[in-house]
Amino acid sequence: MSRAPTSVAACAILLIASACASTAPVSDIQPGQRPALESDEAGFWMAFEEFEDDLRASSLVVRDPALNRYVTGVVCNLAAAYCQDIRVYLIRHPAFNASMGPNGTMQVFTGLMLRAENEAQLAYVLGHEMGHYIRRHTLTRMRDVRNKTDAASVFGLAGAMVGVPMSGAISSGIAYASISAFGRDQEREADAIGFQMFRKAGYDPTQAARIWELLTAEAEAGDWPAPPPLFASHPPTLERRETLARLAEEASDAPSSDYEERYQNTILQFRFDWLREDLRTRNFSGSEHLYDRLVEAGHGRGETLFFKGEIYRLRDDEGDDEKAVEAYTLAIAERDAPPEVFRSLAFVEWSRGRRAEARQAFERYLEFAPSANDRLMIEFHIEELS
Amino acid sequence: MLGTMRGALRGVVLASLALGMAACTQTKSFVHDQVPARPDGSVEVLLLEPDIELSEISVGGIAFPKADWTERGRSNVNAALVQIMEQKDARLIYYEPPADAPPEHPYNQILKLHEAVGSEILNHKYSNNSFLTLPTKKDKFDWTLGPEVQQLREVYAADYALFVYFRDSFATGGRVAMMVVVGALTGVAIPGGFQVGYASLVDLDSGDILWFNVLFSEVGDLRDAGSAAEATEDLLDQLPL
Repeated sequence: MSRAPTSVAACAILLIASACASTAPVSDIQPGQRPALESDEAGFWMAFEEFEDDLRASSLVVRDPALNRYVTGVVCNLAAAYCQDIRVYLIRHPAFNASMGPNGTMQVFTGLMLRAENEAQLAYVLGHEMGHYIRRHTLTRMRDVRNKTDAASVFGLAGAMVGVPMSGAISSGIAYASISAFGRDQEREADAIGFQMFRKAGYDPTQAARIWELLTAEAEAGDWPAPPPLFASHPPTLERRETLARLAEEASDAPSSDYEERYQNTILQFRFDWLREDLRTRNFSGSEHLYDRLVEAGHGRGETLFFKGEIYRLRDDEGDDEKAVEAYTLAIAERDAPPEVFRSLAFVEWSRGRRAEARQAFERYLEFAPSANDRLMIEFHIEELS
Repeated sequence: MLGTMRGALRGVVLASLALGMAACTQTKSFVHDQVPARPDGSVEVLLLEPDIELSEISVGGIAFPKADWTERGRSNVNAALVQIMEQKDARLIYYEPPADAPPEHPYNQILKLHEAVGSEILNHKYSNNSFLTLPTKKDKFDWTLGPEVQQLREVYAADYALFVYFRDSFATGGRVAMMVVVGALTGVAIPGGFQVGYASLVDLDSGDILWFNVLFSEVGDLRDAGSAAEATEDLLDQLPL
């Protein structure tokens, strides 16, 4: 078989292919702007609208009106002009994550809300995601994917014709590596535009780098190497943290705030559920690190200490009984200890053979939660312990 | 991004089934073991919003959704559905969920339930792999959504519910060139565009899936009104109404 004609054929395909997706830079999306129906962008919007329909009917979405108003308020505070274009969905999920669809579907995970110390940190992440929307990153990324996979398949074909073994695998590997690099450039851009909005809205500029520091420390303390999902697509590289820190230094001395009280008061009534979801990940060392930080920050100490005790009760390693009792005892000393702390304490005391203490703790559980749905079972245990 | 796109996943299942079918247009349907007699005179059929998406296959083999084609395809299929139903003396009632319907809303629940049951039918009744044939469903077709669907019957005063799903894709010029070159040089056929669809008819009294049909075509084109009408007719052929 002659080699020349096949390369010619491959080049011809490439010429047709390269005409398919534009590589020209795209302008920022304007407030209220919708893509033209014939465009490739409209296709991505359509796919996301279908996804959004599913999301709207999902039981994972947190629907509390006050909490939704609050987070949407932060979005509008960052960019009033885009306020109508972005729809926030709070997703009940313990991971630290947020994402933005091309059509303005923004997902914010409760694991992010639990970890942010203040409104400024939340606003920085939301601003970053809005940066992806404004810069139309899905569009440029999908065009890039298209061009690179087109080229990879054509070069793979050309390579196969001239007899380079594995050329298909090599060329698609190159395409994927190059696609990821493109992603990192977009992260830089989103950071820049997000930071600008965040600063303009009067948030404390040091909080952007701070949230990455907190997450890096938590990931390092965790039980397994798997990073939080946002790390995979948004690596908190040293370069990135340094850039954010430099931006903070360069920021003007205009008055700013982190709005910690306002933030913590808003999330207070949801923290118990979010902590419970976090505990279910069974990343005990990571959770221990996180709860210690939350206890130190001083918001909802009683419930956080209760969950810290739960880590030890569930992990049940050597010496964990003592650690659990210690955490429960500290929790009980706080005003906001949940009734469940007595029930857990009772089980741990019982397993240590301290029957009188166990019985007393069960009784206190029923005293604080007289209509608990496990009341009959607890009464049975109290009888057993008598 | 959260979760999987169930529609896309179903497309993959359908596509893999389709590979076992021959070229041109093919359908394969099942009818419930006990189909109650059709009421005399005109019947009311609640049409749940047809799930239709058209896309373009890039040179690299990725399907990119196309909004304008999809809009045309949806309107062509809807027009065809009206015609077909008229011939069967059936009146179409359109499904309109409230915009802010919560997940526990019966419409959402029934949609999700149908999606789950439909996937099971595709997996277990259409697979060429005998390993996937369920012993309890081997020689029968008695899938049901259960009597809760009566909630829809009451709201819409409908006798039946009809679900329609279509995916249609078309190779770009570059992809076609690629298919020709690879085919000519290696003899291996690489996939271009194709059409898959399924439809099901649910009895809104018992919740039973009375009829279920899968269509695969390499020649169909939902962008064209005539071809879309033909595809919809093929899909609804044998509909027990």
